[in-house]
Amino acid sequence: MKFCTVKQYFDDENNNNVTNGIATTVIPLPNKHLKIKANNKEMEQYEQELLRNVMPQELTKLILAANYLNFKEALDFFCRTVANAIQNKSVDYVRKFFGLESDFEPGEEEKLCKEFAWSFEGVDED
Amino acid sequence: MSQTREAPILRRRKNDLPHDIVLNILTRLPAKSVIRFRCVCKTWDSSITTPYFISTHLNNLAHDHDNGDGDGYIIHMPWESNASNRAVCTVAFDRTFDRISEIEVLFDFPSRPIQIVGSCNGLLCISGTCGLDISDYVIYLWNPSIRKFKRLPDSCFGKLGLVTLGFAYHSEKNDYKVLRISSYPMVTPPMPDKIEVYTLSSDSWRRVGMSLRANAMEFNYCSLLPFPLVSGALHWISRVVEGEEERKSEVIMSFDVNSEEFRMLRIPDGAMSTMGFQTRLASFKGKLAFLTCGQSEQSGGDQYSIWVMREYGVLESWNKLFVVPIERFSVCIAFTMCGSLLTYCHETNDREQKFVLVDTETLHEKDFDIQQPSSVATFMESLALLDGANMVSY
Repeated sequence: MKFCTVKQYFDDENNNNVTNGIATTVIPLPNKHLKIKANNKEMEQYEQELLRNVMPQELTKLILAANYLNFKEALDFFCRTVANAIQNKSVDYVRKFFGLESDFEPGEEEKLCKEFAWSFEGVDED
Repeated sequence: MSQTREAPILRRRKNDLPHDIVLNILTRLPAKSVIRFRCVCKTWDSSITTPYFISTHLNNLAHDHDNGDGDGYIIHMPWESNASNRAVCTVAFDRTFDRISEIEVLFDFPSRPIQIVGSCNGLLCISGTCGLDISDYVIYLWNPSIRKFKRLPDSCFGKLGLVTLGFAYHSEKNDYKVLRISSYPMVTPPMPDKIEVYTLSSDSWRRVGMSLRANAMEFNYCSLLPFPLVSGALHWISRVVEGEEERKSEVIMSFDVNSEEFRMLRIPDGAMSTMGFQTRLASFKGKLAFLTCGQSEQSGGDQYSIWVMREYGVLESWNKLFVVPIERFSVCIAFTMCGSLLTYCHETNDREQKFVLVDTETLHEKDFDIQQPSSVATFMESLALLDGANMVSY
């Protein structure tokens, strides 16, 4: 990890609000990674513990922090966690989560949904 | 001064994720979720259907698999149909064959048996006879994870003889190929094999020549197992006639998927005397494996001997890794990547048939609960062919 970027990050005013969360979550990751690198089960459990109390929306902030710090392992880990969190969610939920709106022509979206109707089975209710 | 209005979709909130990070997340989703999220917006739909997305998704899957201590998956499909004439595939764990899920095969194969020719990157190649004429073959490429399939065009030859098929991923070109060898063993004067290759990118068959030392391929061993793809080549066993003395011997044929060249490899020393209908080739942990059945010198009972070629192409590196004692009248149905051996025992006394799964490393056996002989192949979830042309969705 690049220590100069970390310092820059903390100094940067815009990031003051998220500093605390990042400090406790992102920074300890590389050491933990090295310690239990060999054992994936342990890492999975550690990851689950770490993020048990973190809302999916907050994960977005962690991702941006890891991206800014150029910390690839943390970025991949957080992305994996978000993927697990959203994998069974509805299209509407995902749109809200990422701040997106549908830009399909009228009828286009319906056509797609119909073609992939099978992929909508068993989706979590919003 | 007029105020320009940004389109809503471009207005970024402070915490919106850049598109490349969004893709990082999407490529870690299971196939079903990825397909559903095509409906989120146009950008996502077009990003998801690019070859780059599809291969990144596949690489993430492979990477997760390597990191985990879990083994891969297999898929098995009965050769014969059940009462409703619709075959049902089962996805299971490679080592234990414990069932995970079932997938209905929604193609119409007018007659049986149907067979899994091969499996690459989650894409299956299945074939079956069509109609009464056994030389009519129908071949499908099928990705069950995204519910798309494609029927291959007819052969570029007229009548097909006895057909052997292989399916491979051409990594250099990110393409898929099907190899078809058509032989005519009962014809006089002897007729050479006709060989053709189908490439997905061209969606067509093309003749291929084989130039090898041997005078003729006498016949190809019919394999219940898919042709193993090892070191970029498909492998099968042939009996060839060589030299002026017309010496007959069994060899391993290989077809390099990239160069489309054929090669012969010698079978392991000591295996020649055991050649028979129980001889199989398979891929074991990425290496070429040779399996054959013979009699044990010690016990007098039957046993499978399994050799593995430790260094590809180096004939001295054939190493007899496993010996598995079996009951009489046992037929090998499958030998998987992690070394699980599935056998079919037909007990002649009480007419009972049973399937036994053997872990070749521990020799632990367990009865396997399937009703009939099946094709077995490796399996993984993928988006292969999501960007394919002329695919049928169901």
